[in-house]
Amino acid sequence: MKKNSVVGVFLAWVAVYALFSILKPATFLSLSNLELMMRQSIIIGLGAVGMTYVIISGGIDLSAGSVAAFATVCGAATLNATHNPILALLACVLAGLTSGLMNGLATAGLKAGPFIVTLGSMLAIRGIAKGISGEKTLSTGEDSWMFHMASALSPSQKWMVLAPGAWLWLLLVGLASWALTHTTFGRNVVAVGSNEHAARLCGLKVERIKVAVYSLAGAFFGLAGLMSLSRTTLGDPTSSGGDELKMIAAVVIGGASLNGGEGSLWGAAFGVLIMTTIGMGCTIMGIPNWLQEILTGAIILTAVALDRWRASKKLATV
Amino acid sequence: MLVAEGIGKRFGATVALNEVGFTAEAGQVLAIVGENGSGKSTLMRILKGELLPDSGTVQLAGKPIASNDPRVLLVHQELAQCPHLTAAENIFLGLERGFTFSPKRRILEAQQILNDLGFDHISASAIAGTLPVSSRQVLEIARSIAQNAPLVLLDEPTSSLTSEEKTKLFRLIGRLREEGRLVVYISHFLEEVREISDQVLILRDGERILQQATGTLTDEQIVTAMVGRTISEIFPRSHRGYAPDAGLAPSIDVSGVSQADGRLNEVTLQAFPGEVLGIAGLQGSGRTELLRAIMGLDKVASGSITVQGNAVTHPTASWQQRVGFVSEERKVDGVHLDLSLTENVHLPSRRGMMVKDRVEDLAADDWLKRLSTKYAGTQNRVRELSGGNQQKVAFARLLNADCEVFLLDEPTRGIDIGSKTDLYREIDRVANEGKTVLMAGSYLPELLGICDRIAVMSRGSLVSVQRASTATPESILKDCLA
Repeated sequence: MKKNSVVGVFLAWVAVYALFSILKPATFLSLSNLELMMRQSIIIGLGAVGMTYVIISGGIDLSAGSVAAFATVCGAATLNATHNPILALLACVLAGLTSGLMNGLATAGLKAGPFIVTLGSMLAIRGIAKGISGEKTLSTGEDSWMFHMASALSPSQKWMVLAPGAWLWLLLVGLASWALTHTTFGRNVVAVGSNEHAARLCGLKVERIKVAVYSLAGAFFGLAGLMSLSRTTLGDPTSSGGDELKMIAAVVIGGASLNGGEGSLWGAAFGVLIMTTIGMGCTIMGIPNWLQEILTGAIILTAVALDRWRASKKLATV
Repeated sequence: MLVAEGIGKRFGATVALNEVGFTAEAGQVLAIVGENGSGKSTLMRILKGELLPDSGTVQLAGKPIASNDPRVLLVHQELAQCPHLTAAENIFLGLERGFTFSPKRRILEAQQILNDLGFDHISASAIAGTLPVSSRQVLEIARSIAQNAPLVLLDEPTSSLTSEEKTKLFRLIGRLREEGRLVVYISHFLEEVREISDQVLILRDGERILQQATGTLTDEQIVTAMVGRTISEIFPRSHRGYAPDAGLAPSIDVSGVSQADGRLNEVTLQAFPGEVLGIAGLQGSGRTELLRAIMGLDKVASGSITVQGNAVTHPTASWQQRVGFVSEERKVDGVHLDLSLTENVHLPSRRGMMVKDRVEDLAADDWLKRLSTKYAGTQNRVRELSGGNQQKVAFARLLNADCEVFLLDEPTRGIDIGSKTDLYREIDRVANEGKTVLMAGSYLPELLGICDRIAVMSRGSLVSVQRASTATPESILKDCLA
């Protein structure tokens, strides 16, 4: 049944893509357009991996965008200080992981809802990022391989087909999807999201699992920040504003339930692609931004309505 | 007069009801009995007009039942209330007419209804969510009075009532009958059916088996009609060679345990390998609290609990030491309704990093078959099973974890007799294997039927421990009320 819903999201993306291909065959029916679309999906896509785990565990993380911005600042500052891209990369992931750990500890420790906790950290982490950068955009001003992870492939790199960042994204989606179904940790995350009380009764360490999920998600938001840094070469404390909502939207389009216990990583990935495709298509067609936003909103509502309709049909046959 | 003719209802491939017909007069109590999955609840929903039958008709006083007919009141098994509103607001919810609303007058009227029912200890101005479950059930029934419906459908209304409240409820049903209303009543308890019903309609697998005056049937006949087996087969019990003086070390040792607010009060109790120790008590007597404390689910304020020689700390440690728990609240923390059968069976016993799907499926299948569970596939969701089969899934977890100590909190609550018997048989089996079973229950024939000793609790304290062979329902009930 889960597979069906992923296929559904995939077909929805194909349909959207096909629609624009008919309207603008010259641009849409090309490999380079697909490649561009993948690159434009990387930031939200990587974040959506973490967000899927959080939502399946029954939580929500509103701080994702702030964490990504915080990571760009940490990465840029590290690069400027050490001139070592590996260290900068680690700084991004570590900044995300630490933020996630804090979110997890606060959610589990305060026994407060994750909505409130991460609403708080959304503001606080954005503030910290601004404080560290001195409320400025940190420019890096050097050329390094790390600025080509999400940029267009040079002719000598054409053999890669997709940008390295896009490959990384697909790899991590596959890995996270496998881990969700084939590791004890993954199954425990689903169990906690499906029914926390029953999970506790079964002896699962619910609090620890939550802390782990938020930390893991934080690391993915850090990776999203890394990609943002890679694209812009800037440590920008104001970047990724509102990205958390796009990630949540992608996860929901991908078939997740905000009540937890349900969700799909591939579904979320196609959810991201649907949103990117609409964005690109509308830009190429010259459709104004406001219409594009209405369209995306309508798609989210349709996804939810379809999901409810499927669920009600399933119940009726029981 | 209620006339149902040739009612059929299918859900997909499942036939829920097949050509069911019956009649009932106003001023009667009609009991519908049958195992879970026999079609009782579907029939109730059709009588209420929540579901449309595929074939057949239902007529009340000569007029067909409309969708959600206002002449019918259905009191659900699950409570459907707004916990933030007052008792009075809940009683009159949806019955308000007009634009303005006087809370004060509503509270007075609601209190009047509650007083009439004999539940004057429930304050109509109390917030519903703060009332105990049993009082909230009463609110549901009070709604029927406020609504003045000629047909009242009660779906297992006593499952969360104390015996005192049950008596009051029966008085109320008697009153509804005298007022010339028709009451249709679903229950698993034969004593209740016998006590209050005029007619019994027995369903099995969606078929009508018989409809007859209650007085003309024996318990034996009713049970045989329901499940196709005789009553002596309900409590299967081998001759266990249990002797508490054999000098065995206790597997559960509870010593002077208290919890805050007197939920538990200086409880001292020992259980031994190879015995089934029952814990009798009313709702709120502390039997659930005691079991949860032994599992490590709740903390104790003072006293000590050791299980298998280890001090109790946390449910994770308990499962690792092969101590398992079955909850009385299937839907709250008993099972994961939206996860697969396999997932539910294996959750507490996974140790390594990887999950081996094939191996787990096969093992789950084995345990569930041993319990005679009915299911389509181990990857199906538990929600798709009937209550009895869901409970078997919860029980299979303990078998899969190879538990030595079975903590069972009313494991047979609200499930059909067939499933109960399957669970009793398994409890008997594990006790024979030298495992310890601690089982809380409020249904005395069950405890007397399968336990070796019965500990009786009241208001958080342990009142007595009686040998099942010499105890009587009266001797236990006396201590329950102590």
